[in-house]
Amino acid sequence: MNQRALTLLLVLSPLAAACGSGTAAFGPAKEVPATKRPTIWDASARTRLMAQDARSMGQGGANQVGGEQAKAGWTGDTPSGWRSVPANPARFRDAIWQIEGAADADCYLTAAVGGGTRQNMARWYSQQFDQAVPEADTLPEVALGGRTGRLAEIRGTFLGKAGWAALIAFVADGDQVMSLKFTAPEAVVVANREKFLALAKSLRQGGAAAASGAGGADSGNRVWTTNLPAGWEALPANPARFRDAVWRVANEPDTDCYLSAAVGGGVPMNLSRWYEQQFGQPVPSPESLAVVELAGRPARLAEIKGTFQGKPGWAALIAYAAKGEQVMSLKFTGPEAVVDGNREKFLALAASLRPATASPDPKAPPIERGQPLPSSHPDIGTAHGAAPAATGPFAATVPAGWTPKAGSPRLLHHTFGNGGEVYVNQLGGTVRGSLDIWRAELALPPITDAEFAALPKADFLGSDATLLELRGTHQGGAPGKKIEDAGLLVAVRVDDGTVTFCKMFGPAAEVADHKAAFVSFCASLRRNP
Amino acid sequence: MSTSSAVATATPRSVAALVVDGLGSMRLTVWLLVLLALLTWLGTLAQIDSSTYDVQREYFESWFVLAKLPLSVWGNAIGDTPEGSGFPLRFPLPGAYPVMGLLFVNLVVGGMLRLRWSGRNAGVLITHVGMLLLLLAGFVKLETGYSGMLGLYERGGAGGDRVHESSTFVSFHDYELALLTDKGDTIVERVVPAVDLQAAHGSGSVTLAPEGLPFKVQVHHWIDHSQVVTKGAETPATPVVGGLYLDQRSWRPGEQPKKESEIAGCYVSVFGDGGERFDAILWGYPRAPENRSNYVAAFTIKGQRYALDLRRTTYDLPFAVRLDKFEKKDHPGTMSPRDFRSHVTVTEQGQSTEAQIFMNNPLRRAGFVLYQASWGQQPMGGPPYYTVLEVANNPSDAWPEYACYIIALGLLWHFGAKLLRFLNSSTRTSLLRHDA
Amino acid sequence: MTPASRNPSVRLLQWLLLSLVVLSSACSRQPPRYTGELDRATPWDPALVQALGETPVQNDGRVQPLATLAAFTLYAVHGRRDVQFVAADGQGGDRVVKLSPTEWVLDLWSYPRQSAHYPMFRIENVRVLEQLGFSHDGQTPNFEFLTYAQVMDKVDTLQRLARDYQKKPERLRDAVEGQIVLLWRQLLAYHNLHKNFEELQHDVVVEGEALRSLFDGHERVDLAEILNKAAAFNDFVSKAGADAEAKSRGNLAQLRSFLEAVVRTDGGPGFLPPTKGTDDRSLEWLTVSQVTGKALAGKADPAHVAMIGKLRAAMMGADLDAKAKGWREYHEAVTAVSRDRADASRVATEAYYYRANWHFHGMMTFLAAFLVAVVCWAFPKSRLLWWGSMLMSIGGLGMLIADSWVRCLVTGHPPITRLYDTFIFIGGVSTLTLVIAEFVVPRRIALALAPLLGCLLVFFGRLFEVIDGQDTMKPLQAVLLSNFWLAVHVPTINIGYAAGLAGGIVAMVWILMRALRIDVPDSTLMKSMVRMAYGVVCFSLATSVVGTILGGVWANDSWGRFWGWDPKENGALLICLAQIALLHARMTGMVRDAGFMLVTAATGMIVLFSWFHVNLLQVGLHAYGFSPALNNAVWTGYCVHAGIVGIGLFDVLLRPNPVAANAGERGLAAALPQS
Repeated sequence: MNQRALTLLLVLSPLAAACGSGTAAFGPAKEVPATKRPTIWDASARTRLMAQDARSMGQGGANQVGGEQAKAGWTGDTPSGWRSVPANPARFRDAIWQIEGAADADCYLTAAVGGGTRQNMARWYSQQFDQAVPEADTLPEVALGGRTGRLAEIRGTFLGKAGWAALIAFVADGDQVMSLKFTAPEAVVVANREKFLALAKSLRQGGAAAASGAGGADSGNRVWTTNLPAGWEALPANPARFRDAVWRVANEPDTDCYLSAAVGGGVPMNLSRWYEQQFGQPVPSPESLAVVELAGRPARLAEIKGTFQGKPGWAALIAYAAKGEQVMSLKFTGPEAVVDGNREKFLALAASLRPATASPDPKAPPIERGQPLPSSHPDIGTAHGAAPAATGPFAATVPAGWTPKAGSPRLLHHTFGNGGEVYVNQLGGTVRGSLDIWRAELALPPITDAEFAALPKADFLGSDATLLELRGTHQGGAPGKKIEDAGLLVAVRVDDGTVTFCKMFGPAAEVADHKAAFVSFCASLRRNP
Repeated sequence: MSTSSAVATATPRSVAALVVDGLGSMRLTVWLLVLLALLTWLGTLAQIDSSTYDVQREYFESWFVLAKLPLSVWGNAIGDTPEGSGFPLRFPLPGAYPVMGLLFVNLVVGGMLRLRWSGRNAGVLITHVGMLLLLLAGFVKLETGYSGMLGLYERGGAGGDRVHESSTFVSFHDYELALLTDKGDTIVERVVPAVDLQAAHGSGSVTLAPEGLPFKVQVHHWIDHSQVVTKGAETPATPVVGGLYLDQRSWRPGEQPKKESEIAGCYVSVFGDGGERFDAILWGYPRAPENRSNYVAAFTIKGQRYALDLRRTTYDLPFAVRLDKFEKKDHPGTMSPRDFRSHVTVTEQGQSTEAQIFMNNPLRRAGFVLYQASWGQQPMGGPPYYTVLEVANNPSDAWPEYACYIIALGLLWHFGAKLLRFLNSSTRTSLLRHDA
Repeated sequence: MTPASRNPSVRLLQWLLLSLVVLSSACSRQPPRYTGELDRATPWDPALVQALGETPVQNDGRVQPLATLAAFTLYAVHGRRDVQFVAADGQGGDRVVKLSPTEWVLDLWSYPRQSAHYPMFRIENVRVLEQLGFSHDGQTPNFEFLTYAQVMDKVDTLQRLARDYQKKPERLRDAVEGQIVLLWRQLLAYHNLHKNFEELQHDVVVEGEALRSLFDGHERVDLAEILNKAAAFNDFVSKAGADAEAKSRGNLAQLRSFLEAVVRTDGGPGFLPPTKGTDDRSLEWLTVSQVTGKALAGKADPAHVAMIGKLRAAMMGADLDAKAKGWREYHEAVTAVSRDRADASRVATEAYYYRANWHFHGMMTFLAAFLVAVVCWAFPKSRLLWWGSMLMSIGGLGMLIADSWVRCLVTGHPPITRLYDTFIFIGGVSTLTLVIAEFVVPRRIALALAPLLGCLLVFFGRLFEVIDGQDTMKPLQAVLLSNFWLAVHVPTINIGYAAGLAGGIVAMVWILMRALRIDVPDSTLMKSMVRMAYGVVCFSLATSVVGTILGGVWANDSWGRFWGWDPKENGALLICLAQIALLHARMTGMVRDAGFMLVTAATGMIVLFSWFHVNLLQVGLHAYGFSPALNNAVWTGYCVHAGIVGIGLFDVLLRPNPVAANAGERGLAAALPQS
């Protein structure tokens, strides 16, 4: 009997639950003091809703440094006079820049390091500069890779070097801190401050840039140059927001002029956005628009006047050119009078727009042999394929029988024969000090003065380089990794303030076979323009 | 006719008596306990794939559940894996509501009323009283208790619009739609909980007619996990209002979908009696404690300003809490917290008192309990930190503790007496007879 | 058949001996071979090893003896308590080298090249070797040890594979994938310790007369010497200025980039105790990198620079004596500073804890007590044997209590703070429960089962310690820092688990005795076992229920809700529900003796789930972690339980009420109490 009762109850109970839901209505009115409900009544919908651009959403959550994103390689617009050198993620250097003529200067990006803001700031301030650590909140804000971070400016004695300074732009996600750090003698830091800030702002991830430039053959990571019209100023670009280059009329903060190198949707969609959505006006036929020049291509010019996003008396000039679905546009908005007054300058700007030469794109290399990451370090991504020889700082004619080595952090890295390797790289220090390092790899004592003086020369990067030839047991790599009877051939010289060398090593017989190829390879080595 | 009367006479006891018999039966107890154990076990395993919050709703705060049977051999799941391989193995079970409800009735009828009230049963009776109190505490908490969170920045530590002091707290999960009427120094508030707006999902809509006001509010295109997007070249499935639209937000790859982290959004259309119309998107992103102020979608009808706001269900405290200092200490050389505590000042009707809230040391006041739940950093990281206090109002807050004492006493009495009887019994002697 | 061979107790003893022989031969397999010459031919001085083992270091948030750091790193890397290998003894023969954890870390730092060839990383699956690209000559050994050098040779492949496999949720990885991820973690644990003093293990070339003159004209210097001369070096740096081409600078830039690299390598255990703030337990101990940073800012404490000098001598000394001298001096220097430090005050107690190893002695005493109890079955009239076994069990219990007591002194917390502690506690309490049960119903069954269960649980605890490879005294998170609740809720619920397991084992023995026709259910022995199990279940229920509710009360006090259906809470509730249901079912007659014992045995599985398995599910507030080895252990436990319950179920269904066919041959247990 009790089973029957149980079944009955079990059947009835869901029914009882279903009866519970009533019809929706507002509850009773309740009066609360306005101070208890601080309310902003008149914010724009955009502010109120924290609207995002459709394009930036593709990258997952907006504000995330750690995790997946940290694994992609980082790039930035290398400022003039700076150069990008290969990264070394094993040392938390996910992208590195140097300054021409200032060998001491060092600028690098750490995409994600643990320890949180507090511990990192303690390291920078107290450990490296022996100074009190300020509150992060008191530091000025700075743009760093599309986010708002803080800027630490420290002057003093850096690791024993008096009169040094550091600029560190950083942003944290919980425990993970991303930082762009620039250390150099104070004068160098002061002189390069603006460039540093521009670099910080332009930082982006290799993967992200590639994704957002989807289909835009013209966009890529290109930097755009132009003849800046008189009375205009350039502002930092924000490619993540379709703003590949930004200008405005100086002293007219309401004006905004920017280049979108490639936006999808084709001409009709874009015209509809500009005319209908932004100005609430009917879309004209594209054929009715004037023809102008944009980046060396014929383009149409849209001229719209009216109420722009709620602002009456505004105007927009938009020069656009389409290539299939992709539309490139240069858009200039501002108060009608200002826009009218700058129409000619805008057209000149559009006509003079040129893509600059591609900036070097440091790809994140894999972990170096024999250097696993510390366990606290987040996982690092693989190389995004071997960088083509032309994108590095050097180029050379590659002899027959050499195979490019994929994913190497080194430059022009090739393999040959059975275990032979050859690559170009750069080091700090002196030629002689470097020779001792290589000698030590074969367990040889430091070079003597007489030996050093007697070393032959080879043609290398357009000048004479010291040529070192050694034979012995190679133990340079990890413990246990050794090549018995190895040959080592190095051409080394100081180029542009840095020890630059080309190193070949492998089984002695094979190195001897490839010596001629090595010499001709060195002779053909040149800097990329 | 004759057969039915024969049955009636053959069972002189009424159906009611049978039901009471059944409800009080100890066999029912056993089956209910087995059912609850099964539910608990499956509800535990379900948490491997879903969040605890979701499982709670599905298995333990429900009338009915389609339980997932996670077949696994040597720890390797077979069947319904997250990768979607295999096949879903599900079978129906009653949820914890009917099981625990019946258990309660069974306990009252069988364990209290029909149990012989004798000295021998005293321990059992006491234990059953404790159990009843425990179940009752759970029921009272479920029906009348509510809780939420209160985030506060250190006073003087961070500027801007940050919240340093507050007398309101918001729910962790639940949303409500609030209609505000601007009366200058005061705001007249009418709210409707989000659970009543279920019909506004998808293509449905819910129309609300606030009493005494000259308009109707239509809620539509409700999205549980949403974000607001600027309209670009794409064609959204939802309406575009002012160049913006509400879009389904997706979880990042590898991220476990969590109901508790969802940010609800919806569209509202206001239809004035005089033909006025106002459209807006509402988005329930919680801004506190970074921002004290709430952004609302305002509209004016007949000269009176109103606003609609989609927000976490908001509760008021009879006192204000201010964070004076937040302390966090780590174990040296690590990031593992050793201690974090909030130094607060509580102000009620002009009277201020200071208190410390830290782990295992909540603040109890006026029926509310404030616990140290969590803490957070500046948006860009680093101090000053903010503290997150969990605020709970639970009339049955202390009942489980009393229940615990009662049950401990009852069990001690019962089993102790049993053991003593056994030690002196002939049963023991007979069991030991070979060792004599 | 001779009477002796027919005597069940003698058969049982024979069986026990046989399994012991099999077990010991399995354990004494030949250790792997070290190929090549050993740089260190003679062992470290044992007195030095002990002294260094007791040297305090700060690691993972607390100050601990170096031996603790060494041991848990070794467990995590090697999965064993020592390193063993066969090496040439220099006279044409072989010898077995056995290194304690402390000796191993000494080799790691003083003889890094030698230790790179120790057999460290256990590979259980030949497919792991294949995936990493090792040739294995077609042999398929059960397992093989790889050396650090060998693994480093394939580190690119290993890292790539591990990264791919780590993207999968842990419980979905197959055996090979799991082992590759594990190998990667083991490698990192090894590498971090191995490279901890890397900067002290090589020299730097100095060029240029001016620069060399800073270092007494030496052509090569080490970090310790640079730190010694830090003031002069800093002076030289500031004078050198920004003149990049100055000849006088020599290779200053190189030296500086070396130092910068040293400063940047952050983290690792603190080997250098703070010389100030002796009462402050929250101070961080320093690393070589931090002292280098301070030295370059002119702020280093000379005491720390001196300690680094000793460490340098310990790493780079010309021979074993020179290295040992360096270590000894480092130990003395650290001890002199840390003697007065509050944070290092428990290091000596901890060193005693691991040296005394009370729980190990307890385990061995339990084993002896079990054997005596088995002998006692053959001589049931002997009060001496009964008391002998009983006193040994009680002695073992005393050792477990001593173990817990010293542990509490070290951690400053009640006995159970981490999962490891539960093994010792549950082992002790389940033994105690059965000892009491034996006093209540002295039928010699609980006499043997009590030390057996205790011995097994301590054994599993020791196994867990090694498999887990994590410091078992790690500082607690803030949420657990309540000694009151740790002392009230945690032991109560664990007593419940312990009694549940004790009841389970009695029931399992009952089931086996019934199934194997050792006795009939109606015998007084079997009846007394049911009584015993009933009592233990009642006790378990009382403590489980009270412990579970107390847990809720703590949760309510700590994070604001009484009950959250968290896996650990659910596990505890499951035990309560099963036992309440069982007792009610017995009252209504739904189950009788056989049913009662079957469900009690099955409750053992629920205890296993609740105590252990929920920790491995990786969910909830009590979440712990996942390890394939622990997973295997849990599932083995389930299989044993399920197997016995299955046998019992089968037996009960087929033979509802067995009666012995021949009263004269009623088997072991029936025979024992009566003879």
